[in-house]
Amino acid sequence: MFETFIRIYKRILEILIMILMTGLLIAVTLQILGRYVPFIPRYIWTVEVVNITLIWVIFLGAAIGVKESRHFFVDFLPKNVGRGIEMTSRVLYYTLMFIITGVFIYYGYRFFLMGYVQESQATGLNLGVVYLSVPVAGVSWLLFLTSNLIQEIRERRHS
Amino acid sequence: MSAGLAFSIMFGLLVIFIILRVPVSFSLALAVLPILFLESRIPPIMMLQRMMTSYGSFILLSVPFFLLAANIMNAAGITNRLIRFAKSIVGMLPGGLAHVNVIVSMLFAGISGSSTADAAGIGSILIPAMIKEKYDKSFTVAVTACSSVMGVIIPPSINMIIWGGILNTSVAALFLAGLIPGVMIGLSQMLLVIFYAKRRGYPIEAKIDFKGIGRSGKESVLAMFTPLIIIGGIVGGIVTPTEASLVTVVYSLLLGLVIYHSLKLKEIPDHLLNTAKLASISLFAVGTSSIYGWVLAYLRIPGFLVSTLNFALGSPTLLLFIIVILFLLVGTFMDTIPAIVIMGPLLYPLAESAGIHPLHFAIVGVISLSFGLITPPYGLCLLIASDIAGINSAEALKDVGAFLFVMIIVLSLIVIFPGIALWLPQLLLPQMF
Repeated sequence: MFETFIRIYKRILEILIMILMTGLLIAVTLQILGRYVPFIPRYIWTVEVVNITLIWVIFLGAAIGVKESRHFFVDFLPKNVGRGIEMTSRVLYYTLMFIITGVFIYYGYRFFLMGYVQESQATGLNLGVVYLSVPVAGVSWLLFLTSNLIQEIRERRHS
Repeated sequence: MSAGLAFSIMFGLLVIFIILRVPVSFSLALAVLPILFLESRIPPIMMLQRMMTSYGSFILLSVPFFLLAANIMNAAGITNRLIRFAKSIVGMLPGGLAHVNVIVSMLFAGISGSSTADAAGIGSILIPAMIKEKYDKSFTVAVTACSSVMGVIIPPSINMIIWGGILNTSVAALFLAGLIPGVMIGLSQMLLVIFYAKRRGYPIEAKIDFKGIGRSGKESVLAMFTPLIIIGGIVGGIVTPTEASLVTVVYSLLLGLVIYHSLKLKEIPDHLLNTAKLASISLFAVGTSSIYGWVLAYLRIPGFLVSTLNFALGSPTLLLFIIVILFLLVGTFMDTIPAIVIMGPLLYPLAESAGIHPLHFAIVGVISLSFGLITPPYGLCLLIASDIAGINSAEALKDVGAFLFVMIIVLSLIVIFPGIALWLPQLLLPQMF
């Protein structure tokens, strides 16, 4: 049940990213054309749309990166350190990841509330739209980390 | 809180978290947390603000675009065309296919900004071909991995963009500064290949065939036009580096979809997704690094480090050599982007106070970190190439060592003679100096 939900949720994020990337390409193209082709107006909104879109791509992509364990990490610990050390390191790993996730959710939400009452300079867009990406990423990490943790416990039980 | 104490906490925690296999980007944010609670003057929300500000830098946008262009060019079979062309121009040298490997890496480096795309794309075609012609597997792996390092040295380069984004160095000037050092590294590798070929009797690939050069040149000329668009566009002031990255994407789509018909429209969304995934984990690390770097600066830690390492500041060359050794060591166990993200802000004030030109520092930094791509235990290009050849990367170490040796000689020349890197940007972008 939870697994299916996670799978669907991840797919939704992936589709969103593909749409945002397409938007990014179009907005920057318009921006360049606006400078060189006389009949295309120099839209001011493109600069802001590009920035917002990039921020959303980064945070959504960083969320998927957690599920797929693709964030850069360094393998210092040798392979056979003994079960005790291995278990301790995994428990500490998840504790730390959940702590930083909590920080991003809590302060991200307050950050969003702060942005909600502000408007951007160029187009008067509500900054909440931009800052919402932080708590959304936080909640996504929470879901994906939980799913990874369940998976890891299951695999360790088997072996 | 004293700068020394703050530095011990921030750096000590960072190392511990990284050892626990917490991703580098998350470790950077976590290591800052205790400081935020001890130092009530810095509100945590401000850190998120910092992160957003760092993403406001327009240049970072070129990271996904250059990656996308490389993915599309690889998928569109551009690599094959470049290989045919390289065969026609260096195939007659002893150890022909190894020279082809180096030359193609050089040409592909001018199109793509990442070394791993280079190692995977070229390796999957040339490694099987070289093994079939009785080249030693370890040598084959070494030449593929080591030549792919040029991907991040010859412009465009994702690593230079990240460097420029974090340390406010001009990316256009960085691109120009990387060109001569990159080509020097390629040529030094070809000299080594000749030496190997003579000793081990590696075969000549093809006879001199001027018609062949013309034919394969015509086939690949459009692809080889890409570096000219990027460099020419930037230097000529027609486009910014970010816009150049978009032009490269559009150009690669044009080649793949319309001119060569080697790419299908329905494959594009997958390339978009894969590119976004890789770009976003890199850029997320840039964001958390800007938090880490900002707290470092706020607590005046760079000044503390400068006063501690005072002894080396007298001689810029000596300091630069110390930095090179540090980067080479860090590069053995860390990927290049997180290493830039962690080490860049720490070492920049040192280099600055010793009077090293920011561009010189940047080029030396990017090159020495890129050597980390071929040094174990974590040398991504070496791992990719060994995987394709089906050997353990440890088996290739001796030959990799030989290549690394000549590459370090070139790097030392660049450290001692800043002009190698600085001449081209000084010539073409004099307003930057």
